[in-house]
Amino acid sequence: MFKHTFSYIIKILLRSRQLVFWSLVFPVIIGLLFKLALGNISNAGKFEPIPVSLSSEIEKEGDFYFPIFLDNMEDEGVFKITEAADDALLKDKKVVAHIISPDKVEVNSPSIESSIVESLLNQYLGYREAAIRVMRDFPNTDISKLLERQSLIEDVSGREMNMFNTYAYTLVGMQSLYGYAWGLTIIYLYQANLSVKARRNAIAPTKKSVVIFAATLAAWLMNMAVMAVNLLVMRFILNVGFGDRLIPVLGLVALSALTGVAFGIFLGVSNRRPIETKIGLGIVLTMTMSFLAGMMFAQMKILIQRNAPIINQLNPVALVTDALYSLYFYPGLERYWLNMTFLGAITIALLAGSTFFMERKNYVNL
Amino acid sequence: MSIFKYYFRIAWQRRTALIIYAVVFLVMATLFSMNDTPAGDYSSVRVPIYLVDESETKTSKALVDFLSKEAELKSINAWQAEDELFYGTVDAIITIPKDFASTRKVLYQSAPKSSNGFLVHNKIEQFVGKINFYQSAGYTEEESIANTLEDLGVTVEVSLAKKSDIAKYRGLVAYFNFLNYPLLSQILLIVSTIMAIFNRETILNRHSIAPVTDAFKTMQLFTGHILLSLVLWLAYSALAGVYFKATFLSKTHLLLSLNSFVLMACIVAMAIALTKLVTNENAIGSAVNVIALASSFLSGAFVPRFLLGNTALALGRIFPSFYYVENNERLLTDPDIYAILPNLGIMIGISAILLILSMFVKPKAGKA
Repeated sequence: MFKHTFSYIIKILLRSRQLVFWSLVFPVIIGLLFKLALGNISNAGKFEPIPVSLSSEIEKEGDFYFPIFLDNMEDEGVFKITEAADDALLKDKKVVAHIISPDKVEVNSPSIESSIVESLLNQYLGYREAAIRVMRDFPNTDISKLLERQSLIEDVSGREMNMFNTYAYTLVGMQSLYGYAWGLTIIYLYQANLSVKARRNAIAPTKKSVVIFAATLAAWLMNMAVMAVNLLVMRFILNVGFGDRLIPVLGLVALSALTGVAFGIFLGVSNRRPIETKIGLGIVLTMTMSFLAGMMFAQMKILIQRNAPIINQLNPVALVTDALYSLYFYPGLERYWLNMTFLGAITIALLAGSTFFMERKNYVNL
Repeated sequence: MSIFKYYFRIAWQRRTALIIYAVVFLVMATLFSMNDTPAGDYSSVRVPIYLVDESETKTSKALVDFLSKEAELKSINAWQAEDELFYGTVDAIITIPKDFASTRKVLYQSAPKSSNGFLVHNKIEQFVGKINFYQSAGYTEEESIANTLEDLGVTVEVSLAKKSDIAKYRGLVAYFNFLNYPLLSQILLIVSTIMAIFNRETILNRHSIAPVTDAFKTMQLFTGHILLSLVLWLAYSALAGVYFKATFLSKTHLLLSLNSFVLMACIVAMAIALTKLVTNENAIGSAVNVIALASSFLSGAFVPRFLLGNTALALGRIFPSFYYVENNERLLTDPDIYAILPNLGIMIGISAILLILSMFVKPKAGKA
């Protein structure tokens, strides 16, 4: 009976083109959209030489060291300097700042680039003051020796950070929960108070627990298969990094696929709303959880982590996202296992809740 | 007017989805409203950083004081710091190690080649470098700190080429940009769901024998679409007034509202066209999600346009949202009706084309 039900459910699910399309193709479409929209995100905010214009009157200021300082900045790739009679280039937004004198600069708007220009000029002015002070207090000091640059900062930055990955991880989480559609479909075939087909199946001489177990297993396998395909698309077409630990990734796929199916079963048996409402509710809840996990605004997950971490621990999409992120970013597996534990607990709770609604039901009429 | 009456009854039954989309938007709107900063003169950007002082010497304490003025120190858990750095909510992690007094080295972590990180890096160099400079010249630690702090008072005078209201309206524009998503999702979802129900074979058959003309039925449905969309638009416009009191009824705010009104009309036309193509009630939710997400991502409603590649921007042009977001961005620098007229024209043109096309496409009757 188990084998029979299992194979028939697989056939039914595979024949449901709409289900296959939306569980498999929809996340792939969204993934491609992400790639198109966020492909440049890792290059955003990277430092580029800052275009500045320099007043041609600057030499009249009589500060001998200032042009040397600016030349150094240009040689180090910090500034890209153009000489200009006035601030026309600034007004045309061709440069970020127009340097009028060592202590006077004009900018278009407050920005990170204009702040860097300001900070570097402040640094110059500060050292000018310092040199005057030292020459006054210790006239025999060799200032050029004091100005020799020493390394004051040790850069201990870790590996390359690609924000696009985090968006892709939320997509994996979203896809796992979209598996609710598989769960909803199978439960409408076996829970007698939900559909005509289920009523027919309910009076068949089969053990309900066996057929529901077989159907759940089939739905789980289907969800795992579409997730695996999407993961391959992400890895090899969209170039998403998942780290090099394949087994934990597969473990996460397996568990999250079951969470999605369990979510669908729970949605199906926990209330008597029409199927259209349940489908709509499933989509809306999945999208909301994806939003909270950072699918539309990556920092949302961090904001929740800071202010209400319990929401992330109860949100399966956030847990999948975080587990994939931890596999990519951290060498250890502690955080991965923590996420797996929470995800496992949610899955068990959904399955236990569904069993509660399904078990030992006697119907006076249907 | 039974169709009209039933229209709102169905819409009410779908309220859960509407409310959830609205709640998602409310969360975002709250975040945008935090950006409701008054316009003013130039001020330097304060980069968010996470700072740990393990040394606790006079110099390290002075550095912490300095950075607390020059940057935005985030008080977060140590274990969260790396996540915050990855997600860009802090731009650098600065550790002043225990042996700072002897090594004079600060540990620094940031995203590779980050501009924000560069600024923090420079600020640290400015401060620690200056103290080293004074100490090498022969001053004591206390004198070096005092001199450095005094030098920091000598600053460059930064002026704005043109007084700008950009900072004042940035949050408001972000609000209206994101509004694209809930308006699209909610109007498309409700209109297409209702139309799918009215296009059910059984209901179509019943309607065909009712003593009401087709034109009157269409008019009732159309009035329902417009009224429902208007209610949503008015609610979000009122919310914008609540969140952004400082700019409410300003020219920019009114023009942003006008732009969103035209978008709303365009979405109604899109929804009507969609119902002619997607008649399966189960497929509507997914179709709405694809359109709403694609449109929002490719138009720059979710992420700033400078992050989008050329292909994304070229593809985005097929969506009315693209012209809507472009108008919002234009209004940030040029709050003038003439600046947004061409794109308003394009949105109205797209709506007209969609409505004309939907008149010629007869939907396939759906099964209940």
